[in-house]
Amino acid sequence: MRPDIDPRGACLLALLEARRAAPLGLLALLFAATLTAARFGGAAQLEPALAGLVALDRGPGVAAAAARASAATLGLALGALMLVPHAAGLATRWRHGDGDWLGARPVGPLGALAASLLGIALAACAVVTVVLGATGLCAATQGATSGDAAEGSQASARALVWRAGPSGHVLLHAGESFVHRLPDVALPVGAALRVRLQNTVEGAPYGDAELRVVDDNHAPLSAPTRARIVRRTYAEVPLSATGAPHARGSLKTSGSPPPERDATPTARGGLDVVVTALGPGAIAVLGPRPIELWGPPRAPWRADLALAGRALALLIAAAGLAAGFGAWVAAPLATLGVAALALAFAALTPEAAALAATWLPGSGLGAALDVAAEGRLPAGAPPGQGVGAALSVAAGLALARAALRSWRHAA
Amino acid sequence: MGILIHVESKQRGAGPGAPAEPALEARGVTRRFRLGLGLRANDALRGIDLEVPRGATLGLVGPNGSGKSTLVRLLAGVDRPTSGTLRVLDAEPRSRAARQRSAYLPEDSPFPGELSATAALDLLGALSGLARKDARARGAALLERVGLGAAQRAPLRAYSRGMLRRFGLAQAFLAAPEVVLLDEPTAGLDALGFAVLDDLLGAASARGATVVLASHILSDVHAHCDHLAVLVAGRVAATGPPATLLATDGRVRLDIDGLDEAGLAALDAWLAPRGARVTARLPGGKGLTELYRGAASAPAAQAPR
Repeated sequence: MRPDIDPRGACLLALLEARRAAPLGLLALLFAATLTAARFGGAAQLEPALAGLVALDRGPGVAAAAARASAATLGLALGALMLVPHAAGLATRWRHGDGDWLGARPVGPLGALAASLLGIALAACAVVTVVLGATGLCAATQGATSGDAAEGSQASARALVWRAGPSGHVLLHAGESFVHRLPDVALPVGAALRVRLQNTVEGAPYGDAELRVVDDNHAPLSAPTRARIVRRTYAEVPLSATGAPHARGSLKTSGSPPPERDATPTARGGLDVVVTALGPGAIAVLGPRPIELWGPPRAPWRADLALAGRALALLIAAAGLAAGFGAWVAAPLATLGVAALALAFAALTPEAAALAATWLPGSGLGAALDVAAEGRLPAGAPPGQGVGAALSVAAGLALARAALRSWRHAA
Repeated sequence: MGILIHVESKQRGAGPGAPAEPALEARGVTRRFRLGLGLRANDALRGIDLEVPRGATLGLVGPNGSGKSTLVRLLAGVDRPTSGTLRVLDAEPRSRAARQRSAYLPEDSPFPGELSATAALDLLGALSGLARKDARARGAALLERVGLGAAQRAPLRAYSRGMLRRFGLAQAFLAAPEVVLLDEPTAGLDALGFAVLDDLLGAASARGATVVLASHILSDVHAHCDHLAVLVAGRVAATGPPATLLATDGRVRLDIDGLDEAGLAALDAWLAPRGARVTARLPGGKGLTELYRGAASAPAAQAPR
């Protein structure tokens, strides 16, 4: 399948499609809606989930970041509502009008489709830029980095380096411990380790937990941290990188998928993460990959890419598939099909989600927004998601190409 | 005996009867549209056989729903026949070779309303493979020629139906095509628009282009055509030169200039002994075109509002 279109024609067609998919008026409305939501919504919903010895960020800067993250979620959802139905209606518009002037030119449907989808991708870029610009989300997290750090909240000054741990949940009754071994990890200076926990409300409204990190020789890498878990939250300990022994070994241990990111190491070694339920209630270590390493951000712009990249991959993949489905069924049905597909992926089992995280477009976007909502910097998007988005667009192109044997309605 | 007086004596391209290589050819072409989940069918074309020599101008006439637009779409390559074969300049209509050398004015003017006339011609020229400089130069000249020079920066969605039609003519003639397919080219055109169409068709004929004019109004197209094909219910009901198809026994149509009332009375008196009479008398003089042009050039019309 060779695109049969003049490059300048393809560029102009892409620009036309971008204007149609994201008209300036709609972009302005989207900006206004997102900005309003970022300014006036969400902050009041933030409530302390941890009442223990661990001081998690709940300052005004973090509250504002949470509001911005909620607004970004809203903005991206509105953007998807703008782009996906438009892409789904591409073939219909060709069959009932555009095909008359487009199809009479020496242009193949494949080239024209590719150019149009490129235009929709440009529109997706505009949508993501508008949403992130209106919320100021990344700028806010970067601002929180310095601002909150000045207030003594070092956690805010860190960016997510990797996630690890079991793919499922682990239930701990009072007195039980969960130990997860990470045989060879890089520990940046100033890193912190967090474990996602939840009170299971078995016999008590809260459960206390102790979090310890020890090295290969059972020497503590941090002071034990006790946390009272009321609902779902993270327990966090700052790590002492200099205390890590320089052990070498394989990361392949049972129940321990490799960390998804690596940072500039300042120390390497094996370590055990130990979570002990102290009672009175039971607590759960929430999979998948409940253990997170946070280090100082190397480049704050990576946080922008983390959000923008995931959002773009999701929007472009959804639009590409919608264009393909829309060539076979009515546009609303195609849009619903894409939505159903997205829901199906969202409902993946933790194991499948962990497997798909590296290539599934938009995977981890919610988690990245959650991270941003805490005033932290999310990890960068895996490049595989770009490949996943490209494959989705290619599938959409193939579907549409197969259906568009004629530029007119093939009834 | 039928007599037709040709006032015009312009030399056109070779007619269908002339031994010339066909520019357009249809053999047993049918087009069936499925309706209602495919349970019902509408045969828009039921076996069209047609041959149009290069340089000829064919008028495709017929009532609404006779299949004119469908046939033109098939020739333009934006649709496929259900059966039969079509050739445009000795190539399949949907091939790049055919579409590079032909142009099409769709019936409904579905041009991108977001773009200005200039930008739209730029896009359409680029899609036709024209260089940017050529497309802009030709586009600007054509927009002036069709009377849209003053409105070339306005978005097409702000155009009236007639203006869109004029734009449609401009885009059809942009790449100097060898085959021009115009579907209802006069729909929405005013008298000046008809003059624009005359001008463009004259130029196309002069450079030997083959033209197909589809219309349900015979008088709009027959003056331009050296061949007519009448479509009725998806079939070619009649073909031939306008002189043959439109002639009526016992009726002569004269266009006489410089005859006063006395002269007309004398003409009546001369006809009476010969068993003939004048059946219709229309006042001569200015047509709408002259009226519009006169009004446009009057000082009041140019005064600022």
